[in-house]
Order: sequence, then structure tokens, then C-alpha cells
Amino acid sequence: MQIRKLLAAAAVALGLAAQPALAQNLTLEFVVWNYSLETIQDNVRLFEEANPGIKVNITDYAWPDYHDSLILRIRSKTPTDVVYGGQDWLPAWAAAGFIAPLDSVAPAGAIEELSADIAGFALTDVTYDGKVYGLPYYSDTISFIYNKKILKDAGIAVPATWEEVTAAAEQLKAGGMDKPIIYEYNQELPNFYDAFVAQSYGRGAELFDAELNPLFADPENGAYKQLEWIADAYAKGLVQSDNHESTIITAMNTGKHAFTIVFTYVLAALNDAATQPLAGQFALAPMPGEKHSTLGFAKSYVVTATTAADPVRAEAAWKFVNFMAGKPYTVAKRWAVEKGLGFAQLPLFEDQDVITAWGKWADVGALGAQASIAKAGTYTEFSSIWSAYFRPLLAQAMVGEAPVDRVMKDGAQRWTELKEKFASR
Amino acid sequence: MAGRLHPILTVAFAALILLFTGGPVLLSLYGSLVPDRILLSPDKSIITEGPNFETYRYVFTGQLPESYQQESANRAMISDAARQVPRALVNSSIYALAAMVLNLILGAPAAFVFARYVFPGKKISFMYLILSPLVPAVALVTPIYMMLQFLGLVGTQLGIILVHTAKALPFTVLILSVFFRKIPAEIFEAAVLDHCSRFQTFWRIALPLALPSVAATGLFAFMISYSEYMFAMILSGDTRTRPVSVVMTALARNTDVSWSLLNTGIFIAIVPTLVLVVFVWRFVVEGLLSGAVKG
Repeated sequence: MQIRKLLAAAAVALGLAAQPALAQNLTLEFVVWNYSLETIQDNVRLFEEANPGIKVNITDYAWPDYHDSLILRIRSKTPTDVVYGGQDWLPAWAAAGFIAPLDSVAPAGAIEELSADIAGFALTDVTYDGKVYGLPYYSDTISFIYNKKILKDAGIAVPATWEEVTAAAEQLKAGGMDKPIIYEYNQELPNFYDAFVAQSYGRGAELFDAELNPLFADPENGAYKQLEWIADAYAKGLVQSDNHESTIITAMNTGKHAFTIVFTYVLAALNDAATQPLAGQFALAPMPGEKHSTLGFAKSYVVTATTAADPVRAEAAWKFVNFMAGKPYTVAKRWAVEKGLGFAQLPLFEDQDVITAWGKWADVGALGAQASIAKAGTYTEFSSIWSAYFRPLLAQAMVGEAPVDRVMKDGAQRWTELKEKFASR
Repeated sequence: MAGRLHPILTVAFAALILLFTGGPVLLSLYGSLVPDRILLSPDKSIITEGPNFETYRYVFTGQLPESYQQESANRAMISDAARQVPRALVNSSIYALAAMVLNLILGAPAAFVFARYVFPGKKISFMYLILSPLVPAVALVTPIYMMLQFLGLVGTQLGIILVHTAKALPFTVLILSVFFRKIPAEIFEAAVLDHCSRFQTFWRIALPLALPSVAATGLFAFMISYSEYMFAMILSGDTRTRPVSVVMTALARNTDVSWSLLNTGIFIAIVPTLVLVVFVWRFVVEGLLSGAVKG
């Protein structure tokens, strides 16, 4: 009896000792790029209200400095729990052991259940080596966008192939529009390559085979043909270069350009009646080409490996990630409604609030159709390194400073070298 | 009159300089006073529509411009980064003032010692000090970050102040040591004969004589800190510690910033700098020149 009492007392003592550890205030370190910080802060506030005892400290960096700043934080062991991840960085981060699979922090079955609602390309983007490392913060596609009024006034049908885009642009140029196409030409930006992939997907191209061997150096490959198409459009004086999507928004709103290829969320800004004089004139069309597919991508919430290794922090981190990206998808819906950001959670395509909000600037049906045939890019541990090498080559070929053939061969060779190098690690 | 420009050419050159210096400031003011839909419209202007201060109101109060309340409007192009500008100006001023004061406290005595005394290792330590700015800042980012992380100073105002002080210190020592060297040695010999200690010689003799130059060098340190970006970006984690150089970079690079809002941020950020230039630059130039002709 004495032993029982002792055990009971010990259990109570242990319980009391453990209780403060569970109830104590814990502060998660959340690192983001500084897009709409006030909205992020408000979402965090709502999370903190719903989860007493867990505080979230936000650190934000400008987008172009985000990746390097984050790696510096992780390498120097600056406390970091949950971060924004990108599809192009995720394989390298996972391979380096910086981040943890979500099933190591989530309750059993939770990730499988949420994955069922995520669009295919987005799920591919957050998966590495068969494991899900992130839940989508937002997800988008790259779109072919045109000015409805300009085309209607000129009696031009919406182009369905790249050859039709050339013909339409030539007709507009003959009618007095100097540069009918405005193109985000900035080799520093990863999306410079992504936009090229999206166009190639429109033609139905596969840039790599199942073993990750490059296919694009083949002149019959759609990517090869697309680079030739861009170089031809530049040579014909149809294309105006612009180094950032934000300035493309204003340029398209001058009415001096009819076509562009940018992230779909740019369409929300193009058609924003609050700021843009030609709001309402812009629409997306299926990506020109035989297949009309495009590139889809997902940015995600990921948990660092050090946090996953600490049970208390891991539990809090999961609660936070689940609040931001899990059911009932309140936060993803808020981004969609207020900011026009895309989403990977498919049930939101049927949400009436989303349909109403998006209907102001886009044909939601067309968007959904595009998302359904969008494909993920090919991202590996070395693809960021390769992309940084290949983008300047692409840029040279587009403006006629290097032959398409040499650029594609150089790109394929470099990919193969990196693949072999990383395979032997 | 030989060698002088024709008055018309002088006016033309002056107008050109004014165009390239004052023009962007006036354009940013104009851009901040009209919404994008007017700024980008060929048919409308500030004359037809009148000035609009809604973006200024948003920056200082958070109240959304009325145009964002209308049908078919979304908030895609209203970046709250612009609202960080006023706070960032305060932060920048704190960093720059602190860096300036620390530079003078540490740099002036060091410069005096380098200028007037001989001690073992003087040459090599001076060379080390003045050549250190030649190391590219980007090469120092990682070690400095790790050092401050070890000291628990990442994300703190003190961390940024220390780095900014260190960044400007070589210039302070170099410039002030030149001034101190130019003061006639006889003055210091007289001070020694009057039983002045080394510190008294510095404090009572050298410093008052070099005061314009000290002030100019301090302002130089102020400007180095005020415009520094890279370390401030890495070391400041949130709005509580972020200086204006980092906020303006975020504003310029973010995709969710309307032209009107960007111009508002730019104008708010440059007004204190303009005031500083108008009132203080004269002293900087005079201070530097007074050292240049001394002796």
C-alpha cells in the first residue's frame, strides 16, 4: 500500500513537473519573405489566439535575399522553426538535412489526408524522395495573358499556337503597335527559366526523361522549338524586354502591348480597378501549343530538422503549419480572396467566396481548367545550381547572342555533369 | 573672360544637373500624389484630378485608399511594407547617430595616437586598419553574422550599431589622423612644457583645433551607416530593427507595390536626407577643406 502511495505521489509529482513544460510559453521562429507582412502578422495573431501558450515571432527578408539569408540562419544555428519553402529549393534543403518530412511532426494519417486535397503539381513540388516536406502556402501557374480589347479591335482571334501568336503580333505591329509582346527578361530570376518551361509545356514538351536525362537538346523537342520561337520573335522586333513582372503590369496598362507570359497572380494586379487604368481588359488563354499545358508550382510551409527533433517544438510547429495550410483552408482562402494568390487546395475552387472574389479579375473556370492540366517542374538537389548556369545561356539565345543549338547542348551537358557529380556524393 | 563658359552654356549645364538631381525627386513627389490609374493614363493628370494624399494617409495610419474599396478592386497592389518607412527612418537615425558618436569616441583618440606618437606595430596596425575596407563586404557577411549570433546580437539594434561603427571606423581614423598630423608640432611641444598629459594634449589642444574636421568626419560616419544595406538586411529581422535602406529595397523589389505607394515611400524616405544635405553638407565640405589647407 505504501509503495502504491509512493508511486501515486511520484506520478502526481511527475505530472506537476511536466505540466509547466507543456503549458509554458513557447515562441516559434517563423521566417518568411516579406510579401504582405500585415496579412501574415494577422494570420499569426489568429493562430496565437487559438493556441494559447504558443507565440510566433516573424522574421522577414526581401524576396531576392530570402534564400541566402535563410541558409545563413540555418547554418549558423539561429533558432528557426517554420519557414517558407520554394519548390526549387526544397530538394536541396531536404538532402542537406535542413528540413524534416512533415510526417515526422504530424499525427499519423494527417499528411495523407491533406495530400488528397492538393493539386498534383503542387504535391510533386512539396515532395522529396517520396516524403511530403511542406504544405502549400500558395500555388500558382504561369499564364499566357492577352489584352481582350486590343485583339477585338484588331479583329484577331485568341492565338492557340505559338505560330498564331507570331502571326497576331506581326499583324499588330503592322497596325502600329511597336512591340506587341512584353517578356520578363531577367536571367537573375528563377522564374525566367520557369516561364520558358511553361511555354515548352504548352507545346507538350518533356525536358527530362524518367531517369532525369535531359531531352531538350534534341531539335525535335518542344523546348528547343520554343527557344527558337522566342529568338525568332526577338529577331522580328516583336518583343519588348522588361526585367520584372511588377513593371510589366504598368507596361501592359499603357495599351502598348498585347501579350505577356507571367505568373497568373499578375492577372489580378493587371485587372485591379483600384490601380490600373486598363483594368478589365486582360484575360488568360490556354498556354499556346499543341497540349496547352503549363508549369504549376507551390510555395510551402516547411519545418526545420532541428525543430522536428524537439518533440515540444515539433508539436507546436505542426499546429502552426496545420493552421496556416490545413483544413478548413481558411488562411489559403484569405490569400486567394484578398490578394489573388493561387492555391493548391482543390476544394477552394468550389468555394463561393473565392469564385466571387476571383471573378472580378479572371475567368475562374479557365483558371481551374489550366490548373488541372498544369505540370510540375523538374527540381533536384542540383537544379538551382544548373538553373543559375542555364538562365544566362537562355537569355543569350533569346536575343540572338548565342545559337540555340549551342545553348541547348551546353545546358544538357552541364545538367549531366551535375547529375553525375551529385549521384557520387 | 578667357577660359570662362558662355552664360547660356552655364545655364544649360546647370539646368541639366538640376534635371538629373531634382527631376527624380519631383517625379517621385508627383507619383505619390496621384493614383496609378491617373499616373498611367494619357488623358488624366494631377491638374485634371487634383492631388491625392491617400497613400500618405495609408503609410501613417493604415487606412486604405478609397479606390481600394471599390468594386473590382483587390489588395494585390497595396504593400504594407510602405508602412514600415516612418519607423525605419527612426531606426536609421538611431543607428547613424550611434555609429557617429561611437566613431568619434573611438576613432578620434586612435587617430591622434597614430598621428602624434610612435609605438611598436604602429605601421602595421595602421595599414591593417586603413586597408580593411578593401575586403568586399559580402565576404564578411557570414563570419560577422556568426560572430553576432554567438553573442546573441542578431536581430538587435546594438548588433547593427556595432557593425556600422566598425565599417566607418577606418575612414574616421584615416581622415582624422591626417588632420592631427597637420597641426604644428610646436603647439604640442608647448603643451608638454605646460605639463599637459597625453590625454590633456588630445582633449584640450588637438580636439578643439580639429573640431570642424571631427564634425565632418562624424557626419561622414553618419552617412555610411544611414545608407548601409547588406549587414542591416542580414542582421535586422523585423520592423523593430529594420533601417530605411532595407525597407526601401523591399518596397522596390516586392511585387505588391503600386507605383503610387512606392513613390510615397521614396518621398517620405528622402525628405530627411534632403533636409540633412541642405543644412549639414556645407559643414562637411567646410570641415574637410579646413583640414586640407591647414599647416
